[in-house]
Amino acid sequence: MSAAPTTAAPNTEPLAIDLRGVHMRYGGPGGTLAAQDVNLTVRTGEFVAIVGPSGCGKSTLLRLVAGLMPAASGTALISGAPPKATGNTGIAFQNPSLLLWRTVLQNVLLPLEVSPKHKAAYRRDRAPYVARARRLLSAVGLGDFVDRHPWELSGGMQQRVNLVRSLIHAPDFLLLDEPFSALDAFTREELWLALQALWMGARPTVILVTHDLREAALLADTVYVMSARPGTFTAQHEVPFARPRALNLTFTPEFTDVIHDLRARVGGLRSPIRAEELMEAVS
Amino acid sequence: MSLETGTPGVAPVPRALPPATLARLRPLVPPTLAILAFFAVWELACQLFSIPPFILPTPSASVASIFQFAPAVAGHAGQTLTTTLIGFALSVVLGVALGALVGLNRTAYQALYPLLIGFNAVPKAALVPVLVIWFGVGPVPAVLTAFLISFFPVVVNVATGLATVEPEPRELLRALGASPWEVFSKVSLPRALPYFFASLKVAVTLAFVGSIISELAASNKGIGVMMNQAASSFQVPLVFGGVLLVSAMGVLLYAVFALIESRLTGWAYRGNQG
Repeated sequence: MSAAPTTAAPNTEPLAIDLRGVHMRYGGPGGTLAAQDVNLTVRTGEFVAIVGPSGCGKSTLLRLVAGLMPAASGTALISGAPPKATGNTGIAFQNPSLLLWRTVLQNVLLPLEVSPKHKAAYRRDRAPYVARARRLLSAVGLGDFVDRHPWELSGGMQQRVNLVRSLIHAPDFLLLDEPFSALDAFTREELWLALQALWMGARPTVILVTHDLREAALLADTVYVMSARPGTFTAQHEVPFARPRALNLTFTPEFTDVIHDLRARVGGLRSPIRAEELMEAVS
Repeated sequence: MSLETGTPGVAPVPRALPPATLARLRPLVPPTLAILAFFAVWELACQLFSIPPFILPTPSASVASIFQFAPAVAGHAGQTLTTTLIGFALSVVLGVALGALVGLNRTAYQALYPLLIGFNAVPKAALVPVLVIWFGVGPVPAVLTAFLISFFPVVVNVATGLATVEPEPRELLRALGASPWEVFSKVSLPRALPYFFASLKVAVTLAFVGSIISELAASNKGIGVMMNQAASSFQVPLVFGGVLLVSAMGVLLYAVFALIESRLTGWAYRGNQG
């Protein structure tokens, strides 16, 4: 890793997310254990990616941080307090989940209508918020689409709207649950750069859950590898490259080394497919 | 989606129908032609095969009989329309309330759904004599029959609409600090509206069936009563006149709700636009 182009300065900000010995369960006590003994510290303004096999409890952790689901045991502190849905969080799911009866602009403004931090000010004077929404939409190339409805947009455009909506209320936390995994490769790469620019501008604390190792390594300061369910972190990888990171970085040997390293750690956790046995069984 | 905006202080320029209006009327052409064709075939068949009017009167004779007895027909039609609309209004109010309960609460859904199905399986015509015993001959059994027959589709549709709201938008709003009421009013309610309007179109026509059934069985006023009286005096054209009138009122109310629906929930039917 010493051959990296330039090394980013280490983040010394206070802790934004502090999970210690967290267990997560579905269906109440005695339910399925989704995550066990998770320890995670994220500093303010840090970009963290979590990679791991499907169904390993990555999304469950996001729900904990969002204040949507309590931990079964362990301590979780968000900005020093127990997790609570306060409106200081932006969320984007894999499904853009835009409201079909609202225009793009109305969808983007939705968080401002409900976030306790903003809704009073928004009701008093919408103009500055609308201006911000228009600026953001125009910056992600949707300036001509503000009054369109979601179904008139391509999947990539919908996901851009989703990203802008997750950031419109300038949240301190941004939680992204595989937001790009349903997109084609080129659109995905475009949106990586859009997300990086949005993050560098507003500097929220980000947790990005993804299957894509390139995505994780390109965007995150730190990549965590999670094991199969019940999920727990098995590895942590600092990604040293300076920002802004360009797509070209992904073709350098240094970047490829990071990917190989991550891949080895994720690969080791999966139940292996025995190819020869499989060929025999299917013949 | 288009809005007619009148500029204040500027007198509208009178001229022929603007192209936009013509374009909006175009969807009405096929149904109008179909209705006209239906009546033409009926009329021609009666004339061609010399069907006697006491078996099947021509549509023109049926319509003529409506005008012949216009004052009486208007009274009966008014009665039927009133009882239908009251019964329909009851089923909307109670149907939305029960539908919301069943659609938002899993336990209520599991507890009440079999009961609702069983209730709906009862032929409403069989209940009319009971209603007459309870409430006497008059408008009340007609209102109640209209209500009973049109209540179920409203409950089922409202419940389905609310129960099938995707979890992601709701979670998103909850994470943003939205209250349960905000989640309901901003996501669940608009999402359930297309289901609600679909049920209104069905329910309003069913409500007519309900009042007519009740009037045919026991009443002193209404289209059903008029049809009974006309039939017993072999005024068959007037019987068919009653049928046409009920049918026309049903289509009209259906159209009113279809119009409101397209204004409020056009987004749900995007696939059907050009």
